[in-house]
Amino acid sequence: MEVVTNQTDEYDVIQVSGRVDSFTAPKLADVYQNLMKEGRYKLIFDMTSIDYISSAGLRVMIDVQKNCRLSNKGELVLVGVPKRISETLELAGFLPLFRIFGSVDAARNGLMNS
Amino acid sequence: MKSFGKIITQKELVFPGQFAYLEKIRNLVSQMSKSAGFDDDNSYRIELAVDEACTNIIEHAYRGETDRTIECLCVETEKALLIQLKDVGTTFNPDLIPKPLLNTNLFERKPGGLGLHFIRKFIDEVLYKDTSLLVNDQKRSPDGNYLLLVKYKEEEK
Repeated sequence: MEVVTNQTDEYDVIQVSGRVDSFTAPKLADVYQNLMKEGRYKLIFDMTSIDYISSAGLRVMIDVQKNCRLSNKGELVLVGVPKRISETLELAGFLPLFRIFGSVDAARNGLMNS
Repeated sequence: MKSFGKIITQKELVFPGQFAYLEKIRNLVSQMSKSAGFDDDNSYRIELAVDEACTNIIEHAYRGETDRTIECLCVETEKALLIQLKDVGTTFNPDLIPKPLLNTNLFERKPGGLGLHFIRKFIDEVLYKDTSLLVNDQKRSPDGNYLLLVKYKEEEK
C-alpha cells in the first residue's frame, strides 16, 4: 500500500494505491490521524488505485468519518471507488455514510458547498 | 451440505499467524480459486473471506501471540473449492459473535463484526469444528480449531 497526500488551503486528498488489509491499515490510520491532529477535517479519499480493501480498512474509514463529523463541517468523502470495493462498501452498509464523487474536482465542490 | 465430488488438486501451506503474511495467504487462495475456474470477482470475494477469517484468528484466537501458525489447506474438488484454516489458539465460535448493525447511523456503528459478515456473504458454507473436517484421520481428541469455507463452482449452484 502506498499513500500520497496533497494539501490545498481548503482540503486534503489522500490517494491510496495497492492493498489495504490488517497489516497495512494502521499506516493509513496514522496518515489520517496526523491530518486531523493538524485540524484538517475536509478529506477526500481517492480510492481509484486501491486493488483491495478488507474490513480493517473500512474500520479506519468509519473512525475518520466519526472524527470529521464531530468537527465543524468536516467530512470524509470518497472518489473513484472501484466496482469490487463498492460491493464491499454496500455490504457493510457504508453507502449512506459516505458521499461518493466521480472526480476530485466534484468532491471538492461537494465539500465546499455543503 | 452437498457432496463435493472427487478431489482434483490440493495444496497446503503453513503461515506464521501474523498480519504481515495475509498477502501471501491471499496469493495462495487467489491462485487456487482462479485455477478452479472462479472469475476475478469471485476470486476477490474468496480472498477477502479468507483474509477476514485469518485476521480473526490472529486477533481473537492468538491475541497478539506471534509465534503461532495458521495451516491453510486448499482443496479443489469437482464441485467446489474448500479452504480449511487451522489454528491452535483460543477457541472462537463465529456463531456467538453478534451480527453487525448495518442500518444504524454513523455514531452508533461499532467497529467489529464486519469480517464475519463478509465471510457469510461471500462463502456458501462456513463450518467450524475442533477436528479436521477434510482429512479422514482417526484422531478423536480436539487438536485445534478448524474453519472450513466452501465455495461451490458456479455450475453447481
